[in-house]
Amino acid sequence: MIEVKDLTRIYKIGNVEVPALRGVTLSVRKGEFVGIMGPSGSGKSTFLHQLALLDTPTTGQILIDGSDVSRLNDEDRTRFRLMHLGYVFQDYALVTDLTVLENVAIPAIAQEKPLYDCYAAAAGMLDKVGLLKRKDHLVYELSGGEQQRVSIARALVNRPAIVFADEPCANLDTENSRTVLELFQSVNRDLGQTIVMVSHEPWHMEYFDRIIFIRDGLLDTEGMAREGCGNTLGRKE
Amino acid sequence: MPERGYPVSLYLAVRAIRRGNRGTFLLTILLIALMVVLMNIMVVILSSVISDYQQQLVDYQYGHVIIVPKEKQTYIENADRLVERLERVPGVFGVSSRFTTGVTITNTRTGKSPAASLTAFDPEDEKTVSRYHTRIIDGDFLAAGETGQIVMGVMLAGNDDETKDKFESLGGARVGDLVTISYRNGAEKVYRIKGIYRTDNALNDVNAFVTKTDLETVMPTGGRATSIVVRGNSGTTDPAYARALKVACLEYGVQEQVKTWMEKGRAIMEDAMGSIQMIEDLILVVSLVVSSVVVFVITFINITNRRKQIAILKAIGIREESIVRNFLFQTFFLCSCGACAGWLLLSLLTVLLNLFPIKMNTGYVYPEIDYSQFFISIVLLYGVGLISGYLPARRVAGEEILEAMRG
Repeated sequence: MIEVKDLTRIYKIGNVEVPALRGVTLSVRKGEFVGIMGPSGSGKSTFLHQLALLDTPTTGQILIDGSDVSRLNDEDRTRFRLMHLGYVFQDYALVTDLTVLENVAIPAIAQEKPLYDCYAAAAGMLDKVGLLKRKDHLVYELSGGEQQRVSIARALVNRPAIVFADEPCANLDTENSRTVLELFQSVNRDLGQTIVMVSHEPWHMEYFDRIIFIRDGLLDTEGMAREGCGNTLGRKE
Repeated sequence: MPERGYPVSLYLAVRAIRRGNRGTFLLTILLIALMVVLMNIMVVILSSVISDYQQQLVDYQYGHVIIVPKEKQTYIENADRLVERLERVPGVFGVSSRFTTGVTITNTRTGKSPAASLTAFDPEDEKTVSRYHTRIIDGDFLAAGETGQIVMGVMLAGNDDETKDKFESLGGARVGDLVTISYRNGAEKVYRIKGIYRTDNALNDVNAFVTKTDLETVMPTGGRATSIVVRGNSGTTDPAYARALKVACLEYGVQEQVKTWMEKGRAIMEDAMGSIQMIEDLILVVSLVVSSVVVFVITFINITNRRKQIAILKAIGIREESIVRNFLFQTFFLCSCGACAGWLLLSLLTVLLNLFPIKMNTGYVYPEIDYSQFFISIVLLYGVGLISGYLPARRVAGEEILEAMRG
């Protein structure tokens, strides 16, 4: 379970302070597929970066399964990401020196599992995303949609408790976007992983268990009510 | 739980090397190899000059061991008896007693009359301790018991064109020419030049030799010598060998001063070695600075180009240390390849320099790789390479993930 309490993130640009998050409080239940939506510049990616421990909040708390992870030191945050979290970037963020299989296997290798097991797990994940046949290709030999599926396989290979995805369909056409969303839906259903995904496409909402709207660095309760999400916790009605 | 992160570091390094830019990789190795050559080539040449010089000291000047008069004495008394005793010392191959005196030699054809050092010896004994007889370039070496004949070095004989001479000479004396020698005791004698030798070492090539039998006719020595040269069975210049021979001579009751070639030539050697060591150190420091800058620039560019990739690895959960170590493994591999390539280049150069030797004042230089120096240069190369790789890797790996991903 993820609990966020009064989270703020203020960027300093020279002497100017720019608040990106202005006190967000919410919770995500284990096994939920949550969509974070909002207009450009609303703070949804910043919010996701805080949850995924890629950035440090200015104030507030993030509790994952009861542990406050928002104040972990750099070393512990890195370890926590490796052991418990998966992340899918908007621009795939694959390692160009590695093949498809190696890209997917790398989080498992970082956990110092036997190499054979890492490759087996990676191959299994690639099979799930339909790219096993392309396992020996270098990533630049793949299309955008395929690269994003590799990125998803990498995020899932260690079976993390929570997977974060930052607009994973932003660079994809509708067909590829649908494939990716169905993939998330299927791993959420089959593996029971919690998925938190940022999106700005209204038609993606049908895939989410729950939608959280963010506007100007705050939860957009009006938006959630308009979309039938009920309350500040954004439960779908 | 992840432990030290070595497997992932090695995994990433191997793949980065295997799939990285071939041109950059080869260029880097070539640059490191050239640095290795630069760090060693002068040492290789200078060491061979020293080695050659040491060999010359043994082969022409001092043998392995030289007996000189006792303190405050000018001559070794009863030299013949001492020679006989020394010939019985185990390991001794040859013994020759020499009597050296200052003279003035006048070329009767050219009128040139330089001061010179004249050494008298028994030619047969001398052949067992020195190699002058093998370096005759015109005429013949002295024969036992002959008189009125002189053998001299090519630099003493000189050139017709005296501007080509490095020292005062006889102005192009040739075999068959007559020279007059004025001794310190006032005696004068005319000699026929029997042979001219060349050792390619200025210290040797300005000397002149006559037989002891001859010297006794103009300047009786009374059985004395100015030095006795002892040569062992081996041709080595190993100082330990000379020391062992010296101990053996002392054990046979030699009362005079017994010196190894190193002890006798110490002043000259230390002077030369000191200057050469300074030059070697200077070259080494310059090469190391250049090497470290080259490795630093290459690693810096490589790492800066991979800023986003590093951020991705961190975002996945790979520790900073593992990422830095990955670059250290790459640098280590580059240095290893560079060291091997450098060794190959250096060996090739050494072979070429042996096929086409450089002529120096001490003679031709036949260089050999000094592996102790080579090893030191490689250790230093790894040191500066790893530091130069570590600094930029640590800096970039320490950046904020999101900032690095934005590029």
